[in-house]
Amino acid sequence: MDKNTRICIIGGGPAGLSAGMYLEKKGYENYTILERLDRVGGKCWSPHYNGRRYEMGAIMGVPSYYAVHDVEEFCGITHDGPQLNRNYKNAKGEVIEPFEPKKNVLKIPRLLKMKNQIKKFGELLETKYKGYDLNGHRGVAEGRYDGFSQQNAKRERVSGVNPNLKDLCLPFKVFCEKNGVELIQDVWIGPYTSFGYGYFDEIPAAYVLKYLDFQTTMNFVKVNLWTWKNGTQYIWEQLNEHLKNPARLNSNIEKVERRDGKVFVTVNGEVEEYDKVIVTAPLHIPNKRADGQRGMDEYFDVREDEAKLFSKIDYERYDVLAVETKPEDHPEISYYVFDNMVPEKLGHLMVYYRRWKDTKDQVITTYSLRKHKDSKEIPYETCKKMVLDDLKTMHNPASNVVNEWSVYYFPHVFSEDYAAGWYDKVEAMQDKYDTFYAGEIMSFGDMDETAEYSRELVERFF
Amino acid sequence: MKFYKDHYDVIVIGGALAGLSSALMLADKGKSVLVLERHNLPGGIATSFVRGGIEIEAALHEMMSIGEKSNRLKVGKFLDDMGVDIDWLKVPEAYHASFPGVEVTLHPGFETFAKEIDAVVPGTYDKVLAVLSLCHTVFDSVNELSIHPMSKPMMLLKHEAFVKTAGYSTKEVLDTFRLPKAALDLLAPYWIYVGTGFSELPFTIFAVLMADYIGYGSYIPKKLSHEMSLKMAERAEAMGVQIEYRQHVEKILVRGGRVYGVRTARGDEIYADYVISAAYPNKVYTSMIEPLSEVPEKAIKMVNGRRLSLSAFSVIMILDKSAEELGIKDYSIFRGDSADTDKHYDDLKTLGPYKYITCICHNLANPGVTPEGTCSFSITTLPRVDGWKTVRAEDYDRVKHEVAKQLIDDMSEYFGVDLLDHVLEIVIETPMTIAHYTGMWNGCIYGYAHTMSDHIVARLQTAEEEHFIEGLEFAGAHQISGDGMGPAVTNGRKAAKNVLDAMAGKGAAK
Repeated sequence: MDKNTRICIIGGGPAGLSAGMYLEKKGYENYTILERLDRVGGKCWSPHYNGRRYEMGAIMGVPSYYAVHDVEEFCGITHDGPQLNRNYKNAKGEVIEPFEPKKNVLKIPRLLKMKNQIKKFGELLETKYKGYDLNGHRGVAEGRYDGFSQQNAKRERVSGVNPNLKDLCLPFKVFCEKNGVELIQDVWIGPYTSFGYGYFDEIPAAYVLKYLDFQTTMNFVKVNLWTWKNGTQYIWEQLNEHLKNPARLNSNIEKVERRDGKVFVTVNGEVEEYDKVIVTAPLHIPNKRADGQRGMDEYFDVREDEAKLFSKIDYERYDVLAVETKPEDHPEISYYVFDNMVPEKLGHLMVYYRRWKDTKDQVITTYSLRKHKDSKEIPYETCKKMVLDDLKTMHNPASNVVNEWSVYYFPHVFSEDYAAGWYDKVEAMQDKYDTFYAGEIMSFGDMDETAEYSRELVERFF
Repeated sequence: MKFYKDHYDVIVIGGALAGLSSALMLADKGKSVLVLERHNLPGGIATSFVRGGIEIEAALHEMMSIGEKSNRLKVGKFLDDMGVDIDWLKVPEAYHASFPGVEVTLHPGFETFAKEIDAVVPGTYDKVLAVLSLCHTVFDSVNELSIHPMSKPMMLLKHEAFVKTAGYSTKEVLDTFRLPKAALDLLAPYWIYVGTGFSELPFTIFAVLMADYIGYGSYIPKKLSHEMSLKMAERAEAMGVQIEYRQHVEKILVRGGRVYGVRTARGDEIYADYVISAAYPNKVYTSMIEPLSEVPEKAIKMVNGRRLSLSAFSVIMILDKSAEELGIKDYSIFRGDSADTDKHYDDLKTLGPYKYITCICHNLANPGVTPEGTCSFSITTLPRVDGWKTVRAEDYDRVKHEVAKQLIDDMSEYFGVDLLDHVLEIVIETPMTIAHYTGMWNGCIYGYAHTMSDHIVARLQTAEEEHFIEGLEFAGAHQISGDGMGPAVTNGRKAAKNVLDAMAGKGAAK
């Protein structure tokens, strides 16, 4: 492609900014990043509180976040945040140690079985499911893999046929049962469901395992995690500052029209002309399952095939509260509440996060899901009340809510559409309308997977 | 074809060691016998289970009364005679005693045993040997008298030692030897196998226990206790016994003071002249006899007058290292914070902590019992059922964890290795587990407590009076020979003998 190609990138989150970075690295400098909000970072949102930043969105990374590591190198920053640590409580608010056999010897048989299943699962992923952890979903539904595999610094393109990969279309719970490793869900659920990515009985295994590949999960188990002192938003602020063309904030896109081999974008009343557009903003087209989110069709000249595919996208409803507590009610550490990570406890507090070890003068953030495939969506206010009540049960009542965010979170498709080749159909449309589709839906809703997808997109098409 | 015959000579309730011994002996005499077992396998707690592909012993520590092939004792001989061919392995030592300040492994054989104690407490050889000799004399008398009852004057004449010691507790008799405490302590460990502190334990029981175990050593079946159960059942069936599994007898049918059959949970009424019950008399007289009006008041008084003895709490583990690597040197370890049996017996009334525990490392008598580089190790305490009856459902898991953890921690400290770091498989048995799987009354595996007021000699003499219902016999730990897998066989034989005697028109069960 011509290096002078005029490229419009919609969205100044990790996907959009890293698309800019990789384009720039490859010599494409004629790109424009349009961001609707007055900040960059998207779901990496780190507001200020008493001189420090806390996290309303993404909190952490792991050492296998290779694309994020690229960004850090590009900007000369590093993960310098507070060490993460957590304990566990049951639904009654009692501290428990579910993975410590010595605290309850009656749990040992299950833990031993789990340990064996994790080992077995690790082996299965290496062999039976070879190719499972590549970024993106190309070919999975057809039993193929094609993409970059990265181990440490070594990154190489691999591709091949592996019919077993079709199993990844199954809901994760079914996938585990099919492989006789149902107990591994006890470990995978912690960084999955409580982080807003839905329930194992509804989400295809592909999503779970592309995010929580074996190595990443083991990093979570060992609490081998990265954080950033100034918040995850800071990574993208830094990237934005280091880009030749920083994102244009407060850019309200009213219209995108694709005609005559050009892309016409109306921004804050002005029409701008581009050759290509990379969409990292939600591709979603509203259907009954996700009312309320602004649809792509409200500003895009959506084509029939786009409309057909993008209306299949579903979202989680993930709520985050930032609360103050009285000093005596302040939790001593972050807590996971496994009891509340089941669909039957929809809307309840699943995890709450205390960021700094050295002060009680900080906000605590709470996390809850209120949508599940087979359940009635819980209204926002009801869920908020449930979470505040749960904090009381946990003996850490909130005295004040200082910030709240109800996020359209983790776009994904369900097993049936996944198995019907949704991703291959979308991948086949790349560049069809001078449009490239990127962002969370194309890989997975975490900053590294989206940044990685942008890297590959640039490598494949530019 | 009908499931059951119209009539049997004898119906045996319970297909564990006692019931199967009864069945073998009766079949050997040509009687038609039906065994009804509620589980889907024979053996009761003489069983094993599989975890992670490894077969694990559920209960047996060691068998008494087996003896070497050339010189079998009563249980070994009976099984040989019945054609039940068990692959017996001899347990190398008697036990390792671990009390504060003492760590010693003692071996069977009176002289060896006395010599080994003398090495720890010099100058005690003669006295210890004298204790053991007295035990042996009493043991011989008991064996003879159980087959040939005789009048009291004759007994005094022919079995003087037995008669003279019968009225005394173990403590009273041992005190007469004026042994140093340290030597007495080393004679104490096996007390837990009969389950009463020395102040209350009739010397007769102690004597039989010591003579049998120390005199002749102990044995285990190579294929675990279930080898006995399976081979006895197989042999019984070959001898014409009908064994039906998963048949739970709910009622024992009685008319005019005489048994005439049983009814199962499935609703089958099956008829027989005699019934041998492995179910506890407590259960039989309070809920199984139909109609209950056939139960004489004396029977209720008898069961109420007896004290239930011990159940078991075991932590059974497969460890990921060999016994040698973990520093486990003995098949059997008895460990206590003292050798004060009366105090320990009192502790067993509680829910712990238990300060007297017994451990078995099966590999040290049965090397191939687990895969190479692993070993099977169990830690057991034998709590009294009265304590465990008080555990509420909501506290059960907590109590189970606490007791298991205490036992594991205690032995971890002993070996200087955290055993929990080496667990490949773990199973924890409580009195409730036993009650659940075997239907045993309150999970009581020890029958009725041996005490000076409920003495074996007295029981022998009142045995006839305890035939409250004609044609009904009992076989199990609740009978004369008491607890243990060896005594279970003897109890089963005794029940069969009573039936045979009655059939021949003599004895109690007319």
